[in-house]
Amino acid sequence: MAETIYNGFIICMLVLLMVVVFGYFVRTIIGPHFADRILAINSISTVVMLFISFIAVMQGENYIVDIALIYAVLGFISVVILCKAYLRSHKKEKANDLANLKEQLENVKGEDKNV
Amino acid sequence: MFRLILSALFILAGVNVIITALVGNYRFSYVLNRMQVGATADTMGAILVLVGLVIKTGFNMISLKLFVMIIFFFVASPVCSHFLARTETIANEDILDECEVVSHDSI
Amino acid sequence: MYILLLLFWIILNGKITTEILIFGVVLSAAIFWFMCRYLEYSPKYEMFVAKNLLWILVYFIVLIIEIFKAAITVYKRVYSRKIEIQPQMVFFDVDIESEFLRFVLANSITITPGTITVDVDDNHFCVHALDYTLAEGIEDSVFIKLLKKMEGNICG
Repeated sequence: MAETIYNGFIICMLVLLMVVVFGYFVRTIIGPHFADRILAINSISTVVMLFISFIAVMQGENYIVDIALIYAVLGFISVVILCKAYLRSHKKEKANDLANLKEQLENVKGEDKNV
Repeated sequence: MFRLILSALFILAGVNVIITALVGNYRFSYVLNRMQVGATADTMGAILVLVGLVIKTGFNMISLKLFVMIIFFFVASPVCSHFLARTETIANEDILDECEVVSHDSI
Repeated sequence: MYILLLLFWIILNGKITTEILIFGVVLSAAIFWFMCRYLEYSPKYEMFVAKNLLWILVYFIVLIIEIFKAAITVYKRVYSRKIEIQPQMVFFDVDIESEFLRFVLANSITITPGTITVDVDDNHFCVHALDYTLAEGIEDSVFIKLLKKMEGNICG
């Protein structure tokens, strides 16, 4: 009896997470910046990984958790590699030093003051 | 019975955190602010849900694998958000409209 | 570390038989040798963990308490319409010599909701905070005090 109620509860949670995935999907399409889209993709991969863990625990199968683990690792690697590729293609790749970064920020601030 | 209720409470808290992250994602207007809430969802939400599942399954191979996943999230999610924040800071031209710069250092 | 690698292999396999155990022993030895040879891992990290076991436990408890405190602050910012957020980018220095401990500090700052480490260069940190209350007193937070105590334990 308690198991049945618990399974129903988990299915309700799955429906809620589905709504969350749709919300992030909209954000992926309309996101104005590059980082917006990558952030939404990262969150989607987290939520889908939780999906798979829910299903694994409901079925009581061992190997489904492996799939969730691989999904998490793939999401992590995709975020890191996309960020690196974007920075490589960007013009300001010289600003990979903290002093340079700060100098750049202060320069922009000075220009604002002059205006 | 008690274990099931405790596990359900943990899962409810985790899903609550994830939904809050979605709300924050549409409430804030700039990427770096959205990212703060998104990182919260990644760490706290996922870890709370996984802890709930571990409590439900008890001690066997499934819960050990879920534990490996918790450790992975604890290590990997800061790296993800750091990379995203760095990309946005370097790539964005007019970041100073969005946040003010305070410095306590000696560069 | 060797024991952790072996445990990881057994958990991924899902059951213990003789063949799996033999393969695990051989593969973990190979990976451990690779780590020492090419990834600059050395047994001194294990010595560090063994010396500071109590402090590491205290550090984890403090980290979890800080995560919950900061999460409640972020929740108020998300759900209340009245509070206007003021994002800040803070630059500050820390005087921690060990590189590994600075890495731990950067990850702890990032895992706390509301603050993200944007860049680290030697001992200069650049942190983005969601609101100015979260950025207050970040240059002498409780993490830095604990890490300094651990660093004293290495030498003494």
